[in-house]
Amino acid sequence: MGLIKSQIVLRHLCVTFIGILSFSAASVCHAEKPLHIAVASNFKSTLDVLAQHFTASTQIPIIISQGSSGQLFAQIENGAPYDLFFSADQARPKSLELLGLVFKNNDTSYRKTYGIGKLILWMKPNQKKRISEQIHIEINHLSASQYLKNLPPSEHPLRLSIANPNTAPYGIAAKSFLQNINLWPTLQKDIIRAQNVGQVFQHVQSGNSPLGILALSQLHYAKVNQQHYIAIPPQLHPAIIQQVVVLKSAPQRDQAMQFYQWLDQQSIRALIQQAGYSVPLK
Amino acid sequence: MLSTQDIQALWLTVQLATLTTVLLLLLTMPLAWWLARQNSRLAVIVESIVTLPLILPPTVLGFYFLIAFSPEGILGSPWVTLTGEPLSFSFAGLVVGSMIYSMPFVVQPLQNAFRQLDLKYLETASTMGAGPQDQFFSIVIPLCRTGFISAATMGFAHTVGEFGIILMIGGNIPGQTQVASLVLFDHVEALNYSSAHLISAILMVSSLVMLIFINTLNRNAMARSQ
Repeated sequence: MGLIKSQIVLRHLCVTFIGILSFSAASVCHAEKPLHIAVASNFKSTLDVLAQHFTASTQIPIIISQGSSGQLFAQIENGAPYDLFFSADQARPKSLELLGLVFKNNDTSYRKTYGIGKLILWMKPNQKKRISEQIHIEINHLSASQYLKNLPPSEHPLRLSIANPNTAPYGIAAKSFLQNINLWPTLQKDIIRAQNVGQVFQHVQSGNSPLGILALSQLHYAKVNQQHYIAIPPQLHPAIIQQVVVLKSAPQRDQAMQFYQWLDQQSIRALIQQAGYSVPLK
Repeated sequence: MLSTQDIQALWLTVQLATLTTVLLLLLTMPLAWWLARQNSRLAVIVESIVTLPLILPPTVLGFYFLIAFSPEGILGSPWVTLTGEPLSFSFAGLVVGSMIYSMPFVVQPLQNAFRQLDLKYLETASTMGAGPQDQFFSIVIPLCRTGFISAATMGFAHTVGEFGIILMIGGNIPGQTQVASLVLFDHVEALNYSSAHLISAILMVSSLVMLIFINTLNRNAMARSQ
């Protein structure tokens, strides 16, 4: 009896399961096909907000894949089926263009700057050790370079997380900032290389690094206390010009072009600005 | 050609794998012995915990390590008190992480070898006056030789192949935590394919050689026991 009963239960389960599967398959078929966007980690949270606005007004759903610009570039070069790519630099979109992978319409290439990144130094107060309270109180009067130069020797070995300068655009900017203030050689052994600014955030947030150099937008969305970070002056590092491209192989090219043009709206530019980027002049 | 950074990373990988394997062999031997001789429910639970790293996504371990290793974390905080150095993003941190990651690969071969060891040999030796130390070196080690060699080789090879955890807790510091798999990842990201090919080939050939070694050993042992 028990066996028969369990067989019946099993059959019911199977029927329910198949029902759910076909229902979800049907709902996917009826909806608009989603736009697939690849985005560099620093812009992920901002793009989430933009995507919500876009989907609300157009009913086009958006799938977002995040990674480092280098990783995403390598994926695209090898045929990843993205529609748009938001890079953290302009070098990789330009290379894609040279490789003929960017969509072109009558000589206009679908590549443009969507934001200029702002670099900041984030200090997370640590109750037990490292950064002394006194310096935190004085933060408002110190520039990022003064702050780093005035760390007392007792704070060493210090940990300063930056994105990998060999692969990540924010890492290149962080490295040249440290070179410009002549701290690169002395801080060499204190520098922790994260894969991208997303990982820099992890390091500082989890308390593993008391200091990190990352994008202002990341702290904007994490609602970090403004007392705990200092802006790094843009003249101390090469500009972080971030570009977007519509890919030639885009499966949803029309919607991708629609999103690309939608970015120029004043309200959307304002959103990007609020998130912690400068926007290019029109 | 390999750059100095590549050579440094390969050498660091060898150091990490060697240290991890030696520490694991020494520390898990009593555990493997206990697991081989116990049939209690507790032993089943302990055995399952030891095997867990085999099936868990490395990101789960990496995430927990990131939290535990922080200077305020449950492992990081006593470590800072003891050594004055933080545990995360350090070579010591990688050794601790790798030991947990590779533990099942060392414990299981040891456990199997100990299980097959006939206790009569030890009893006989004991009646002939051999102390526990003598029994261990004269009987257990020679008879379980294959188990020890497989445990060491598998532990070493698996640590060389570690990537996800080190990516999360290593900090990619050349000479300290930048191992071969990370340097390879960076080369791929930087589109440095020629260096990436070279390191990949080195890792692939050396791993293959280690596996051929273990499999030959196991087949010989099986042939002997038949």
